[in-house]
Amino acid sequence: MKTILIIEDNDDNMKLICFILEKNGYSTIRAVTGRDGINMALKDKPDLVLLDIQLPDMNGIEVLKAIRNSEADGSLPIIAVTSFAMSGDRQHLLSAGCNGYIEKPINPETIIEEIRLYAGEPL
Amino acid sequence: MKILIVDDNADARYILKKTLASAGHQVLEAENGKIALSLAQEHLPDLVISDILMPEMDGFQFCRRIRGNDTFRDMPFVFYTATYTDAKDEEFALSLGADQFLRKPMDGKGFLAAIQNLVRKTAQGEIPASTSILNTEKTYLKLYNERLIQKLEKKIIDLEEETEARQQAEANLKATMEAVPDMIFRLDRQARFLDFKPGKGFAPYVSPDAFIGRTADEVLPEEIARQTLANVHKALETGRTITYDYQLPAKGKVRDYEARYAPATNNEVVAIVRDVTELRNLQKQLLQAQKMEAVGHLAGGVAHDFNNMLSIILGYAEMAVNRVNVHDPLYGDLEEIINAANRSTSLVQQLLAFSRQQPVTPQVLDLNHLIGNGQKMLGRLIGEDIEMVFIPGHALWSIKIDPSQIDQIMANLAVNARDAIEGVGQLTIETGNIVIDEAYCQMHHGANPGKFVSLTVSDSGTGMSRETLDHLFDPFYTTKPVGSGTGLGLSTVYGIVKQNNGFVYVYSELDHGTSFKIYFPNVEGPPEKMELPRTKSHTTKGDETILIVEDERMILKLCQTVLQRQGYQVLCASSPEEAIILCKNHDGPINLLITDVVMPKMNGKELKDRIEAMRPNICVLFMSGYTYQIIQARGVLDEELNFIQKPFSTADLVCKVRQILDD
Repeated sequence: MKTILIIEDNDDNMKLICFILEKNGYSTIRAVTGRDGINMALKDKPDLVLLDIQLPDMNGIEVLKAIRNSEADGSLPIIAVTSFAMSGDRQHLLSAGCNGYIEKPINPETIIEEIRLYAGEPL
Repeated sequence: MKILIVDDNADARYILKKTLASAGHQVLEAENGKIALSLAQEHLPDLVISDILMPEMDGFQFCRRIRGNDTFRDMPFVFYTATYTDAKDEEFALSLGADQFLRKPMDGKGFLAAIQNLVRKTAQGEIPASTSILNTEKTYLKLYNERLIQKLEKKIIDLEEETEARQQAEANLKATMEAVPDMIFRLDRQARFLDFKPGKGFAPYVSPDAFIGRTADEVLPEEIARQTLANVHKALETGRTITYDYQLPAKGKVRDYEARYAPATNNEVVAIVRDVTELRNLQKQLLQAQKMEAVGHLAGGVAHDFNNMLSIILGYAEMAVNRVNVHDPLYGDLEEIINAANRSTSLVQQLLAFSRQQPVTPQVLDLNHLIGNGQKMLGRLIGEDIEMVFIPGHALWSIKIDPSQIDQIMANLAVNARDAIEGVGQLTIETGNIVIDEAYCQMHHGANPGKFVSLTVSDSGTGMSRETLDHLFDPFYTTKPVGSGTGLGLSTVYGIVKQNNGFVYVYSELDHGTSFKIYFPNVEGPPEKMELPRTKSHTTKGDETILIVEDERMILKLCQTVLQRQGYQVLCASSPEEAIILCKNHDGPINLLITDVVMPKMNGKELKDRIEAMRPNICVLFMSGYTYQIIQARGVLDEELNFIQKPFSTADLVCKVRQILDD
């Protein structure tokens, strides 16, 4: 089963994302802070990371870079989740090393398509 | 009107469809938003009724799509829902462009009226064409996410409640299992032990860890493992509970188990295993007791009839021997008959003792005193190679028993001990006070709670095998060589103990010895002085008139002959009626009435009352093959009456008659 790491400090969003992912057959692991998120991304070997860009302890981009710097081949798919509404954000995050980009509030219909694209089918 | 209903619950759809169809509407059905959307595009319905929570595409998403489609922009859209509905849901639904929000459940009439009303208003243009006020995708998604999270939370609460209820049920099940004294196992199809709850009888045959995760054939003896697997399969295939009895060695002893295999879920079987060792032991003891009872009745019955015959043989032989000269060759022959008859009489006495019909005179006595007195006699019985040790219990309570019965018990046990000891050995006699409680009685069939005096006779002999122990008290069962034992010794002990409301148990270890434990109930009061045998009258002759009533003609004739020889006038009656007529018609006095107790039509007691009414001064002697106790128990006789037990010797009869007439 494919495992998705969700790094997200908002409890409601965490619940909703986990619900949607689990309903679609993915297994989820959760981190509430950037620091935990980095550790789990490296240690627990998820198949994909959903990374909230606004975290309490660290800037999402820092988290992203920390993961990219520590992994061997840069192959872990990381999708940024953000409520930054401005254009330009998207480009900024992608150039920083994100594979994809999801805007909040999330669309339950489309989030799965995005995840399938990078993580593959759940099984 | 063409109405599209959208609900993932088939039952809900069915009821809705029936309601709408009854009002003449045509109904289209879809089980989620996705299907509904394609149905709508294909059939162009006049109205949509949708639930909220559905898989694939929920009601909110569906409504959003409908309102975003130019074709359906004005089509009336109704939410009809119940699950986790709150005011915010309605607000959100209406903001998506729904025309009405109805809450389940509604009755058919109310529901139809609401629908008709909506249709009418729409047709009359009272309701402006609904459009979603949520202009941007982002606003929609934000509110939609909120709704979803809200519903998730409610669902989580429900799940938590469900979990709590399940935990409670599990706790209850666990408590129930703990309360069951039996062992409980869970096994899979391969008879692999998955789970285990210890219980009574779980001896450290194997520790739980040693068999959890293992199959029956890895931990159980071959045959039992094979049966276990077969039972598991049988339970799974038949869907029924299968029972299976087996034995396993545990703590060096064989224990009996009763297993029940019941099919559970997941191709698994729950087995409840009960240790029934004690139950089986009690069943065996009960069976043994019943057997003894039955044999006792049989032996008693035979002995009773046999007694009558012996009376006649003995009586005539004694009369005959008195009439021949000592030098006559017949004299020796007659003596042999008398000897044989006497030996038979003692055999019958043993049978009667076993069947608890031995005539006895119980008295309150001190067992220590009695055994102390009898030690010399026992010493002679067992010989010099066997050391006898008597350990009298301190301040021993009194018991009530015929002292001669204690002698019988001690003699029988001593002789058996002697025969069990090869060469030198020890015979130990112990007495003691003991209070027997309910717990002991539950383990020992035949025991009663109360105060008892115990008598333990142990030897250092060869001990007994299981087989011998099973038949120990059976009459005529003997392990001694042919001709050496009658097989009545221990039967006698058993009968005597039972007759005195006691009980007896045997503990024997092969090659180590045997111990008999006998318990007699304690009676209050000080021991009586031993009664000395009555001195017999010097003379046995007389000239009084005696009336004999006996339905057994041979005995009647015997008594007549014996008494006439002593000089008595004898009147004979073979029935009570005849006796009464004789009494009326006889002119002279009648000094003594000798009557059988048990006779057809009228018993001895009734006869006595009738005759005493005519002749108040008459003496009475009862005779019977039944014992005094039995006759008393049947209420036939009162205590202070004269009684002679059959078989009696001629000497006994004439002595007793003289004694009564002299008193």
